[in-house]
Amino acid sequence: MNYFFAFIVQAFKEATKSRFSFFVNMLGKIIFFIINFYLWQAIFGYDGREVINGLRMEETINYMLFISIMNGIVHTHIHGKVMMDVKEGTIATKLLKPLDYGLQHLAINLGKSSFVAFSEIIPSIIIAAIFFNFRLYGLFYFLISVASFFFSLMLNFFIDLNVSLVNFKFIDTYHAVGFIKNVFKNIFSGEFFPLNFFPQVFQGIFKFLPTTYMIYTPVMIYLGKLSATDIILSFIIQSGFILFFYSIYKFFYGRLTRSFEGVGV
Amino acid sequence: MSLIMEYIKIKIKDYFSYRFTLFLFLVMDIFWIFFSVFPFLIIYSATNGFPNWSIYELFFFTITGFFTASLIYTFAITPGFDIPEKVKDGTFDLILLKPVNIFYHIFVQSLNFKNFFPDFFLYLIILIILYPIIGITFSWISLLYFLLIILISCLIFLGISGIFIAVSCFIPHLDEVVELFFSFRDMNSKPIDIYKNKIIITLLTFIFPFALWNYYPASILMGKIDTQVLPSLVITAAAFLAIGFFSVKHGLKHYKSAGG
Repeated sequence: MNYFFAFIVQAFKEATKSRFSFFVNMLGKIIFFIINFYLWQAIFGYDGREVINGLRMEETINYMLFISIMNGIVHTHIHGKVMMDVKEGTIATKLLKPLDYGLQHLAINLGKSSFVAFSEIIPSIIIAAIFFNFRLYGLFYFLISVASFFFSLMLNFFIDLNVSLVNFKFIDTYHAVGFIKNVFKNIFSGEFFPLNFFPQVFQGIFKFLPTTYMIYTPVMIYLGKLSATDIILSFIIQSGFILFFYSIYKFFYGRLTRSFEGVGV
Repeated sequence: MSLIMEYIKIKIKDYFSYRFTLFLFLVMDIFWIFFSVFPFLIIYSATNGFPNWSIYELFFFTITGFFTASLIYTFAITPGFDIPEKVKDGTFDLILLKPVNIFYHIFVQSLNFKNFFPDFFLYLIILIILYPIIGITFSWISLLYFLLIILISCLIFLGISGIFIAVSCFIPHLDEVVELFFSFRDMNSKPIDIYKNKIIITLLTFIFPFALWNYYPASILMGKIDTQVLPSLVITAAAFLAIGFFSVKHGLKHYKSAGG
């Protein structure tokens, strides 16, 4: 456990070095705010209805703003990192470290996400509140939602980690596999628009998809749209999916490293 | 000119020697198109959609953006990515040593047909298919305006490329500055008339001119905007080209060959 925290602290310290990234990320967020602020006003204004599929205009805009505020926490680069480790052979040194390979990367990711949480959430909330009418639907819901986003990070991480294991066998598929995975995740996690906008037939399927619990569920918690039972259930499901993907990783990782030939080394 | 043609021939031959890769690119492009229009399909199924834009018009708008991007990435913006990398790793000196005009050399060696085959032809075919579906009466003059705006956007981004090259002579690690500039591209994934804010629209037309990739060419072909905007776009292109040209000249004077 000490090693795990040492990796987190190291990654946090490293993240503080790239100050210019902070400005790039903040500008990216502001652009996202502007797009969604005007886009959803235009859509609701043109449609004429006050509530579309259970969400009011103000809730939909806040849904999108909150995604942008929290997105940096969930983000992971594990797919690219594993590809580079295998390609350049740096995996050999990582395998020697006293911590499981996947957990090393999880700790690094947690360290970086913690830095993002400290540095970006408060300034972006202030900007969104001043210029785009962002508001909280209760401090309790906000805090629970932030906790849910940290579960999302782990869920997202282990999904990506499993996909990245493909690199051990087929290193040239990195771009194609990454592209398909990102497309699927972006659409079905509710990152592009609330999943409520999908036709009814999809709604039943979404309950069984892990992607639903990555963005959509934490944001619905923030909007106060889930009951206490649903919130508890969502945490249980998130934990279940994390364990499920972790077990799959352990199963395949053991077999892949045994047959790994270390071309890059 | 004959040297450029010879160079283009070699590059094209090179790309066609990997046919399976080209096929994979084609599959990825089709998937990318589907992914880009899918959110619109869902929004239009749940709402009335965007004001003054039918779903097919929006498809046309999106594909026009890809079509222009394939040209810009092939002929205009790549030097702006390539040369800063060369400045950083020190290989830019090799270009400066050659007894050829520096602008000519930078342009020719940066031609990037990876974004031309099969993208350009695929998007062109889709635009031709979509054209009758969106119900526009064909007119040579609007087609001419459409092509003119695409040419203008290529020239503007050639100028921007020059600015990137010049800045890289002062700041070797340019990646994040470029990323910062390209962040504005996201704002044009939807028609800019939804913004209802003149400052934002002006910014996306004249300062970060990504609206020239999709909104202006598509809108002028569909008759959504007036041709009065054209002179100001021509002036913008001339200004960007001039700034690009002179900033490269100025940047080269200060180039210190400090890379790896």
